[in-house]
Amino acid sequence: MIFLRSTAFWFLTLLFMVIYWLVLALPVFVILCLPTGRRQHLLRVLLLGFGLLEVRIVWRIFFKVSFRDLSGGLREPGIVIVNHRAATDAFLISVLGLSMAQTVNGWPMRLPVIGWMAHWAGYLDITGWSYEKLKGRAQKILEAGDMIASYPEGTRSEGKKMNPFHSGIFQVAKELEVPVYMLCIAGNQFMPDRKFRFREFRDLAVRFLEPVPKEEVRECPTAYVLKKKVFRRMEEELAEMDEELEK
Amino acid sequence: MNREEIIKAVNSIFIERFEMDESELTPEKRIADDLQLDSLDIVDMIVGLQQRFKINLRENKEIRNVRTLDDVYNLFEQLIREHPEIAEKLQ
Repeated sequence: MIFLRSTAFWFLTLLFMVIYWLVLALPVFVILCLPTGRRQHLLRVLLLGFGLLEVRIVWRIFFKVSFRDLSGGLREPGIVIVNHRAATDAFLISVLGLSMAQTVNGWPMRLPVIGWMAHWAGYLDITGWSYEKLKGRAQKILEAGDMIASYPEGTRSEGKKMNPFHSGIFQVAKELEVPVYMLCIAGNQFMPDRKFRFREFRDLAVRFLEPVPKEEVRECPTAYVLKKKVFRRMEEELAEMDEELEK
Repeated sequence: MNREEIIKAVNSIFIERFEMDESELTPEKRIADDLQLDSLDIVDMIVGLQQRFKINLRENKEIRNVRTLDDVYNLFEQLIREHPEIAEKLQ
């Protein structure tokens, strides 16, 4: 039964992806002819629309995603730190409704269609680029008014426990003096697993926490202190979310 | 400068720059696995040590091989033995 549901999930997800980008093929072609900054921003908006429709319409057949905004309304361009349990996180962050560039390892940008779009939208290759290049590109995205979503665990944790954070993106936040937002996603540790198989289908929870304002980011003596602060806050919230999901 | 003073000086970097508690800083602690410093944090640590001990560690090959806090203490103990002026500058 789970195998059939899993197959149906991927079939509908991919089918919707093909339909969405086919319908938008002409606008995408026009957008690709625009100057880099404009092109990247518009593609990020289209990617946001794609993610939102997948999560809110296609995936609703299989599970529900509840979203709570505890951020207090600050939307100044900054870095959104996201915990990373499964591949679905890259779509789930769209429930925020903010156009964002994500940091990715090189391989997702080589995936057909969605990977090309991410590449053209200026997604950041966190493992393939030098620190200076990453910071320069991040600065341009933030100046364009968009956010950057990053998964500092580096890889999917596939469990409730977060992997230790890498400091790179926190160093970028410190040097660019931008707020650090926190997005917690709970429930999807096996949706799907590392082999892209769903081991269960259950409702998920997403929470957008109160950010670390830029003044506080600036005051942190090192990126390590900032990452520790963010890690602890997210760990606390995720424990609460997991507990609520178990009820 | 005795070993105790070296430990105190090294630990002060971890307390000031990484806001670690002194009780966490025991010699067997592994810098990467236990204290969770990644490569970028280790650069921060080296910068802090350079400033504290007023020495240049850029050419030092031993610093790249430190794994535990005890390795850091031993390295500075050895450096001070070889270059007593480091301790003089600290006082």
